[in-house]
Amino acid sequence: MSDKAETAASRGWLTVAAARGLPQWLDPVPILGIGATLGLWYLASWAIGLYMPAPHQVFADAFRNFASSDYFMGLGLPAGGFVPHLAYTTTTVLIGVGIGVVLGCLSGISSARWRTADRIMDPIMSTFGTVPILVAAPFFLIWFGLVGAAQVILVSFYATVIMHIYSLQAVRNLHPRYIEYAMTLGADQSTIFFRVTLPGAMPEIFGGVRVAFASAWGLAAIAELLGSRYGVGYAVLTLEVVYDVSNIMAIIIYLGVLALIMDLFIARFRQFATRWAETGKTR
Amino acid sequence: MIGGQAIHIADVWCIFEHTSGKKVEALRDVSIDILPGQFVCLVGRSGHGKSTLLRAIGGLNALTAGEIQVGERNVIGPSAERGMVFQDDTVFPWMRVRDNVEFGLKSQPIGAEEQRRIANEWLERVDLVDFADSWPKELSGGMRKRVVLATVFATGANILLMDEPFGSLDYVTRLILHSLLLDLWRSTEHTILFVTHDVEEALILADRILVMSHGRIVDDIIVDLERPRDEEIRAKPEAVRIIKTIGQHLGLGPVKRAHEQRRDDAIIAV
Repeated sequence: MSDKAETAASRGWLTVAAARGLPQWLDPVPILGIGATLGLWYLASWAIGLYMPAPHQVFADAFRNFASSDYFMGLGLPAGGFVPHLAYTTTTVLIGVGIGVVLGCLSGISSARWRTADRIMDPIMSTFGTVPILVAAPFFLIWFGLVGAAQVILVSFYATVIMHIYSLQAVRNLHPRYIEYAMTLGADQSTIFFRVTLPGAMPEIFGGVRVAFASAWGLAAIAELLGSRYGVGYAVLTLEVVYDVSNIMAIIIYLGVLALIMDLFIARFRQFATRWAETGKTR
Repeated sequence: MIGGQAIHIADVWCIFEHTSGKKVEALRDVSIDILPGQFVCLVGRSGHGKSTLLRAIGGLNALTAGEIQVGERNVIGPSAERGMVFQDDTVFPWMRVRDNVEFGLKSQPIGAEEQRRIANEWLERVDLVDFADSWPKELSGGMRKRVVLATVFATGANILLMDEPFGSLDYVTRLILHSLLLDLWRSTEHTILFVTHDVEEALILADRILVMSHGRIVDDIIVDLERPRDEEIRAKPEAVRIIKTIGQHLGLGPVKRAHEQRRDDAIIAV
């Protein structure tokens, strides 16, 4: 029996698609979920009316204004439709999380290794990490808004905190027996770090990367909402002035799809990078 | 590398302080000399200092007093000349089997080709050549133990410190690994210190059994039985006397030294 069929059997009748060898996306359960959502959406749009556009209207707007839009230009937005905003926010997220992963891992791993580093970093991370973004954003906008870096720095700030916590825990959770074993095999400190500590911590660090990305999309959009000339948040703000709910929903759906694609990409990469791990640990 | 080194342990104390402030004397004035190439089993109940002594020789536990010498040098920390096999599975799961075996060699001034050759040789000796490119998760517990054996032998440690290495394995796998370990020991003549709570296991493996109780070595028994130590050999009167003596030391009745139980020339109890 193949693995697929086995999982299917253990989940009962629900994974009909898997049991018949059909691709995952044909699985009736998620399709049922999407269908129910659309149904409720239609119901809500029928009940609420103008400010709750029906799915087909939203999708029509999403396609119409995707890569070019005179309508957007009329609102003072760039003529390229949704694309420039999505590209701007995606860039913010990628750079912000990129910086956050580097800084967060540096501080997290050094905190796990050196008591002094932990004593310095812990209060900083635990206080700043709890500052709500709506409180932190104005400061960042005042400090970095003029150079257009406020959004990136804000995202990297929160990503750093997340990665600090995850990488610190990842190194701490690594069983000391691996380190001891490596020492009795004659390995020096740098060998132990690069060939034992780091790879051993990798599955949990990837978990952190995933969380950082998941929260980064929202953070970037909020930061743009509060003051930016581009990005998904800025587009939402502009469309809100003319009560264009349909296009707001369209761009939010695009943002969600981007986040989903990114998550799938990370999951794939993690699956490869930690292919040595027992499946229970990679999930 | 053929041959092992002697271990000289003199007046060793190990005292730990728990976080609660309670002091534990894990080793109390332990002195013993282990000869080059000897296969020594340390038996005793859990928590009576066997692992502490082994880890101290490995350089993983600091001593409160006394000294441990290997060759002519004091043990001050872990070293590749003293390989350790732990009870827990220590095979690095993120390295393929071959990379595991080569791990220790990578810290030595030998070329990549030579490393590969040595690793292959030991993989062959533990019968894992076909699994050289496997991930550890694809192996059984017994196979992973063989990976560790290949790794420590390939690294060239001439003293092997084994802390209940086969404790988690099933009966048959353990017997197979016993004979593999004895083969490797015979061909390398390394010094082996093997901690176990299983008296039967000690009788199968050891030249000499050290019995530990409450942080002290309470008996030092030379096992002069012929090998392989199959069931018949282990049923011989001198073997049975050893088992009885150890059992008494470990709390199964009043201690009667082996010479009191009828001295046999083959058994020298100190």
